[in-house]
Amino acid sequence: MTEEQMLAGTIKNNAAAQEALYDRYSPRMLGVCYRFAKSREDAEDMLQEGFIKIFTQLHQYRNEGALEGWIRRIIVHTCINILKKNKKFSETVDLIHAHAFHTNEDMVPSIMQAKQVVECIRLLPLGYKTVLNLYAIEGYSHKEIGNMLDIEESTSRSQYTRAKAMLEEILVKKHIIDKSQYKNNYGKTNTIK
Amino acid sequence: MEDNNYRDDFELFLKESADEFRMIPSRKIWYSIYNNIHPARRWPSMAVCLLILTAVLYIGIENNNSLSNAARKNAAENFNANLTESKSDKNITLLQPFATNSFDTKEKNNPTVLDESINTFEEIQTLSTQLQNGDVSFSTNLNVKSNLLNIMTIGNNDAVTGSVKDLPNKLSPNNKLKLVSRNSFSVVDESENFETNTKIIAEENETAITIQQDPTFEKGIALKSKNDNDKDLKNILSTTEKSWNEDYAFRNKPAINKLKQNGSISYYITPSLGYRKFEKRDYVKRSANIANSFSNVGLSGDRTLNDNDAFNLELGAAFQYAVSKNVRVKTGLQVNYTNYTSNVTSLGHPSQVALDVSSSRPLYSSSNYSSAAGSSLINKTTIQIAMPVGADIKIAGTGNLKWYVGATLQPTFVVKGSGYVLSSDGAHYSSEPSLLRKLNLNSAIESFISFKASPSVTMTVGPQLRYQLFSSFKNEYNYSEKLYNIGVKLGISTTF
Repeated sequence: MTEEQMLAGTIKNNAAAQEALYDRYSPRMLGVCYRFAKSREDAEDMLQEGFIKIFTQLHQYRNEGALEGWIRRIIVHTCINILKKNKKFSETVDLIHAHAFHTNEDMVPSIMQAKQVVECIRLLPLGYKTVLNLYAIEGYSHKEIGNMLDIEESTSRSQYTRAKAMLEEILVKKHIIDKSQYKNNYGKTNTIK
Repeated sequence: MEDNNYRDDFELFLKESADEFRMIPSRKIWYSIYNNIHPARRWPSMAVCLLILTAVLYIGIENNNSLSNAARKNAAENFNANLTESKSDKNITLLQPFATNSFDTKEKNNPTVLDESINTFEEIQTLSTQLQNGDVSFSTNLNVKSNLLNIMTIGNNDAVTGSVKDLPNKLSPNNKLKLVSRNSFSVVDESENFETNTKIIAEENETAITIQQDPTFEKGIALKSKNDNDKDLKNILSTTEKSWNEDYAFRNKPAINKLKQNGSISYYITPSLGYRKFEKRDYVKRSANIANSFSNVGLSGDRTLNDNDAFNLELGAAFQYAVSKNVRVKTGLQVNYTNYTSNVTSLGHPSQVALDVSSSRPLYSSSNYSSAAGSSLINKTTIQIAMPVGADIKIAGTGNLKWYVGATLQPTFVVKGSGYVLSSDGAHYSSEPSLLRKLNLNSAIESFISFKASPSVTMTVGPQLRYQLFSSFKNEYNYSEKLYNIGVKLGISTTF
């Protein structure tokens, strides 16, 4: 089923088209959610809520940009909304959290690269992790991040700087990257069930 | 979202790694999403769940019934076990537990006892021949067990081997081997419906078969035909159920309908004479323009106003319920016709008169009659519907004749009435139904003799006094009129 067919069928509330669309994009989107969530269960909750929004709002998709990008934005916003329900993003909190955080090689098991990197990202404190995800991976600007998380733009910048440094330290300690060249030890993509 | 063009290598690496990362979600996520966006389609799955639940319940109930049927069957079989005689007329070889060394079933009068074992080929051959001739028949029931039965000889190189499957070809098909244990069969003569106490025991690795009698059988047990079995089963069931029913009927008598036993319907009529108690009210606010000129009239119940009693009637039906041996409560519906008369003088022309009411302005009405005694008669009537509620108490009497006293309160609705009222000067009568009180309350006391004419019919007769508790007129009218009746109540009651 082509993307156009899926889109048309989903808008018409066709179950087969909806399932096809879900099957195509859910693995990557779950990966997105997993980076934001505390656990796999939380990530699946985010995914479920996100796709419900996608199916109910798909008629608003204007074919401006890739469908995956549109889906991804909805998923990211859903993740942020869920996180915001449970946590306040404040510099003070994150700073306290961050100072108490210590990296430990034993915390990250030896796994394939993509998952390793993601697991290392998940080790970061919530505020750091969220800002890093939004800026470095999802591509939002600090201004946009500030609006989404109800924090100042400057807070977002400082959070990101600290998050990046911490993540770099984790990845280097884990020998996932070389500090000077940012090269990895593994070259395969890992899909995890 | 703006594309971040200022990514360094580290950020690019993070993005590439994260974009490569995938996780396969569990299928239940999709089901949850599906049910959320297709709520209407939840119903088929719920219907299926309901169907499955119903099926499970049904199977469970049926199994329980099957178990109870199995229990009954066991009872039937136990019943069968007590039967000692076969109903078959044919001669059947009955193997007695007395051992002999010969194997000859043709001697019907001296039942043959089989040897304990057959070891020689000749004996096996003889056995086979006899089996073939139908003297002693065996057949196999392949459904019982597919055991190989090797028939071999000892001391003879000519081995005769065969399997249980081979036996039916040589044997009468009327019989069968009923599996008793893993390697032993009992012989059942199906055509004779007779199970012998002969057993064939075959050890798998043994070279011989053993034919012996089952020591648990003292004599042959006749198997009843299916029809007989069914009949006995029915008899057992009917006997069992019958005794159960009888016991149940004895111990669990049906509940008596108390309503029917203690209740009855009564119909009555009470012709009576009715009159009134008339008196003046005292109220605070009076019309300043109305003179009180009644002081010389004398209105408190006497006949100065030329009032006379008149015929009244009460018709009703009541439901009575005996709450104890001597007390019964009752309620019902009745219609009252009340009346008393006044001798008046017709004016010949209407005259406007003022009425004595409690409002600040006088109420004027039209009058055709003077209150002075004359040749005219006015009827001060009302039609009422009442719902009496009360009780009767037995004073004396047994059997068919009893004496009761009773009392009721009767909320009453005045449907219509003449509404004759006196003018403020007492000189005129005016009809003003608007001053009639619509809701009232009567009370009644009675005493009656009850005679039971038949088991279901009782007749009553006795005096009754009924008194109206509130004035016939509204409170704004300055005079109070309370009706009363004295009559004889005649009634007939029937039970349900």
